[in-house]
Amino acid sequence: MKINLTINHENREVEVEPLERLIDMLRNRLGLTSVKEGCGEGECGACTIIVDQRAVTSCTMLAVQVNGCEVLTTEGLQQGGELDRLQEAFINNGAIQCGYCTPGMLMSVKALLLQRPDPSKEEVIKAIEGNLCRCTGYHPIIKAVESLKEEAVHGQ
Amino acid sequence: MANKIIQPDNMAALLESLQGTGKKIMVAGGTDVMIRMRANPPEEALIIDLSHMEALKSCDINEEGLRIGAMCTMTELWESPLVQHAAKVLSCAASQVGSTQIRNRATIGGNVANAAQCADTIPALIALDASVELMKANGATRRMKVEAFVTGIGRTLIDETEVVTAFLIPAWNLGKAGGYCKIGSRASVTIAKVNCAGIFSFSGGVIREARVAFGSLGQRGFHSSLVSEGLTGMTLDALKTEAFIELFVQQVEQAIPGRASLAYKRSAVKAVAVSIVEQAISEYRG
Repeated sequence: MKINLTINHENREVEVEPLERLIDMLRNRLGLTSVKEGCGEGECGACTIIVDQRAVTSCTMLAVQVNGCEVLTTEGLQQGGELDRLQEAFINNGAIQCGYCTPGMLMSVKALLLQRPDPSKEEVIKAIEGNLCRCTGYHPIIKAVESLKEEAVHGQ
Repeated sequence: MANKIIQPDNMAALLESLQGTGKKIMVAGGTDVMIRMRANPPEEALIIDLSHMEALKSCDINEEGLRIGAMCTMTELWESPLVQHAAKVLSCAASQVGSTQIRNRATIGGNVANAAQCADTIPALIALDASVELMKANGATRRMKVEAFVTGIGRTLIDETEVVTAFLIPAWNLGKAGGYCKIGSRASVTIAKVNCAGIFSFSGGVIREARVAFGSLGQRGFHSSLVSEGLTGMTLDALKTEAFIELFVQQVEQAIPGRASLAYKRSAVKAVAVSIVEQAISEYRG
């Protein structure tokens, strides 16, 4: 089946198989390898992307389901070669260790920030409840998101 | 032969896809069925992707009660002021399904049709005495109580030629005080080991009517006459003595006698009982 979607701000037409998973289409047909496969059951959040402003696990969706949708992966966070503020915050706060969970974490938090630009710490924790970090680096990740607030306060 | 996929975006196209005798697999949010299809790939199935069926995504109230489209997601049930107000117990149950990512895709139709014994929305729907609406290829609909519709783990009374279109919560159960609680192996993103939903009518500090339903105790969710009748007539003072907790324990013992999990569940249900009654009382007191 042929589908049309907006992927990282660009319109694309893609031919996909009936049972093809969204994660496989993104990785294998579009080369978007920031989308990681962990559990393949929607439990670990490594494959999290944003579809129509909401975080979803791309391993539990059919590729055809994003027909007509706006899809954002970590590749689409940068603009004009500049990293997103959220990515900078992850780097500056040591929120990346082995890195495997990072793209999923970024997309879960990004989806929260799209809904609520100034989230509470509890909201940040809730937003990443479905993202497992095997290095258990949750605190630096939460600190990174919190640091965006401090930046806003200090007008940097 | 290969699998085929169809993505209807209106009722006529959906009904047309129901015609024909071959194997059909409905995909709503995909969060359960995708895992199943990966473990057991179908070979000659017609995959019907319901994700573009806007007609199945609305919630509204009429004189009959609250009608919830089968394709409403858990996030929508949680965020909808209408559902929060009219059927808080369902809204609460939806907010406890999986993770944010799962709630953004998982639908109420999928949760019920998948018929897991630990499904979060099933006890809430049974407590609310909700019905499911099924539509056939010719457009004819039939309704039955959710409690009757789910017959076992992964088993329901749906026909091959039918689709779940909506859930109906009767008007007399709307806006009632209620609570939902589940206990699993961790605080969030967890699968229920015991889950329970209840709705209550209070007046003059007395429970006048109660409907309590359980999940994860055996093959399917069920309404507990034992707990509902036992709670009816209890005063707020009586609820302070915690004697009511024994009703919940008795129900667990009756539902899963001799099960290895009985010792755990008869203890865990005590916290469930307290949580549900506390939620309902705090709502009653406003």
